[in-house]
Amino acid sequence: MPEISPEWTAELKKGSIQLCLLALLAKDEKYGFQIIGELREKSGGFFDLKEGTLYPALRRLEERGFVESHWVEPASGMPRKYYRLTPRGRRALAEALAIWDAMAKGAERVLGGAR
Amino acid sequence: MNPADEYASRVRRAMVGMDTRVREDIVRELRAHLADSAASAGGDDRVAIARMGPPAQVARGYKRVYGYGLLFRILFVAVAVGLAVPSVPVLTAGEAGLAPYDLSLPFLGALLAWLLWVGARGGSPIGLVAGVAAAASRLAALGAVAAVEPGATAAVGGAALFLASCGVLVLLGWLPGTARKAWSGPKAEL
Repeated sequence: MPEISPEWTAELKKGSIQLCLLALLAKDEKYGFQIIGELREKSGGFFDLKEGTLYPALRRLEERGFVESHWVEPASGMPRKYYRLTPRGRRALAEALAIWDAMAKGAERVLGGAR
Repeated sequence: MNPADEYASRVRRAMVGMDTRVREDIVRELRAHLADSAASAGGDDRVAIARMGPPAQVARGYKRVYGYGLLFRILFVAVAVGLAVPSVPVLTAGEAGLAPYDLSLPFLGALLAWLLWVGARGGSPIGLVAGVAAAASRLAALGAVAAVEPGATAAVGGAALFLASCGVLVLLGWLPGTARKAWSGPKAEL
């Protein structure tokens, strides 16, 4: 039986998921299934969330104007909805990364002593 | 109907009230995802569905992002107006002295309950709109009666009481959504 509440882990994931989604879209546009796969793979399984919660999170970013989407319909095969960063999303990503880095560095200096 | 089709239509049904174009776009995206996901699981639709999570939960996530569509919001306000007009005492009152408020009271009660529900389900902006529309249509109905039949409005039981009840309507529409926001704490979003 773990001492810490599972809610704590859930909160950590919830607090960083949107930043991760923006970061995955920093280089090029991607579709949902692709984003989910990369998120799971690159995080070493930490962000292995229910997929049904990731799609609304993408839509939330779109409603906030941070990403935009469009359908790509190939002549043969499955049509897919691609997401890409908007200029606002790019600025939000830069701001959030700066905050994240400050937190990670600060926390590391504090936590390092406990290892 | 294959499992993926059934799953998609269950999500669609659970998103009732949302804008139709948004809803169909979501369902189309989910279908594309399920096809990709099933293909990666050896063609097993059920694995793809299990990874998505329960349809009601998925729909709730989308509803939280988009809220109710225009059609439902118009419907919410229309029902409020429809209950507001007969809740004006002079229109439905029985004999003065015996039952001065008569039928108007059940309508007023139903209207109060409706506004609370709209405010709780749809949030304070639409609740406030429904409350203001209800109050305005009550005032308009009373004004119309007064114009046709001066003196009939005396049965209302005091202009102050009538105005106060209109104020309560606006307040009730606004309150649930606002209270929920205040109690749920700050939302941590980028």
